[in-house]
Amino acid sequence: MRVKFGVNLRKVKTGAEIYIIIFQLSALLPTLYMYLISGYPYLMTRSGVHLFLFDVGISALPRWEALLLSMLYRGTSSETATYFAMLGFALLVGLVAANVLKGKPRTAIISRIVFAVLIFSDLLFRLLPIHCNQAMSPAMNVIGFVIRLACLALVALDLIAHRRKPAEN
Amino acid sequence: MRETKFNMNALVLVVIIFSAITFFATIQLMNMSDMQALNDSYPVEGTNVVVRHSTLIPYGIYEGEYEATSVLKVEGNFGDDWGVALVGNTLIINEYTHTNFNLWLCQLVRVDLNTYEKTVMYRDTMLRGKCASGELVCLTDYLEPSNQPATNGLCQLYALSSGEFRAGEVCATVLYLDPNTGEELYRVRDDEAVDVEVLETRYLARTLEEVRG
Repeated sequence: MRVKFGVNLRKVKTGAEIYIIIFQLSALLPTLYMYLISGYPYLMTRSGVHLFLFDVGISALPRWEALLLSMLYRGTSSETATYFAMLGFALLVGLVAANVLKGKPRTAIISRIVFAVLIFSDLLFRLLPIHCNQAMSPAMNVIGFVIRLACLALVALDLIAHRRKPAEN
Repeated sequence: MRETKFNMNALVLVVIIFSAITFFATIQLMNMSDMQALNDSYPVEGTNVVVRHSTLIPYGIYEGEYEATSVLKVEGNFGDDWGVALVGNTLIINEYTHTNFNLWLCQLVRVDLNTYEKTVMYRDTMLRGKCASGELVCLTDYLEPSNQPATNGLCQLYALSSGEFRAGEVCATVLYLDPNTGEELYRVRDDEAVDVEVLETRYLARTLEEVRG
């Protein structure tokens, strides 16, 4: 038995699935910048769309993940390791989500609740006046917060729709 | 997601495989950082060791002044350009490292000239000389301005997990070390100290007591 959830993009994707896509895109955006400067190092000294996308991607990632990636970068002095860690984690989350979000009804609901709690705690963490929240520019902090808030809304819509239609589920 | 035509997991997997191939071709096979031919030797005063930078032989600290007979003791890109300190039989010197995308980093290391054992004292720190009262003056929590932190996204990522760096800004703390023991004596936050003239007039030309006062 399948559970029906709220957001239904072209009757294919639920809110939580769209959240996973946004999460994976957030990991792909910074890697685009890193990939570009690996071939054209002079781009490091230029501002542009590539830098903007990098900033958006990093600020849209869960802050704890960005922190871990930064620690990995400082520890290994290797952008290549950071690059593949970022993509590898995005793939891992995508694969797990592909199984749990459309799995058994109970698993699908619990996974959405877990996502909602994680996103909500991430939003609270971003409000703390600590260094990692000030490392990015204020504009990027706002953009990142809005993206994560939208993700929380998507997952919440799923859960609300599920509560409103208990008989159908 | 499994039954949709456009699958993000597949896209991420393709990017990983494609990147792995191209990264190993561009970054791992060609060392992009070592493009200049050079052969320089910098003898360290009061010792029998030489800091050597050469395209032909590994960079490092060599024992013996003559190139033909000198022996590599510690491998690494050391620099005595901003000063080097000899504490007893221990050398305190800058070591330059870089990430594989060429973000240049500097760390202060201690090299025991008996055993030639290298120990990192402070990361992201550069020894800049001695002040008027003889203490070692270093810049710490410092990313070289040549890394262009204002436009370099990698600097921002590097800064994210640090308590001191601020992305998009050149920032530094001036650190005073005891020239005899290498112990930390004093530190003061001053982002302007990155400027050579400011460092010279505000810190190197004055005694530690004057700076403290």
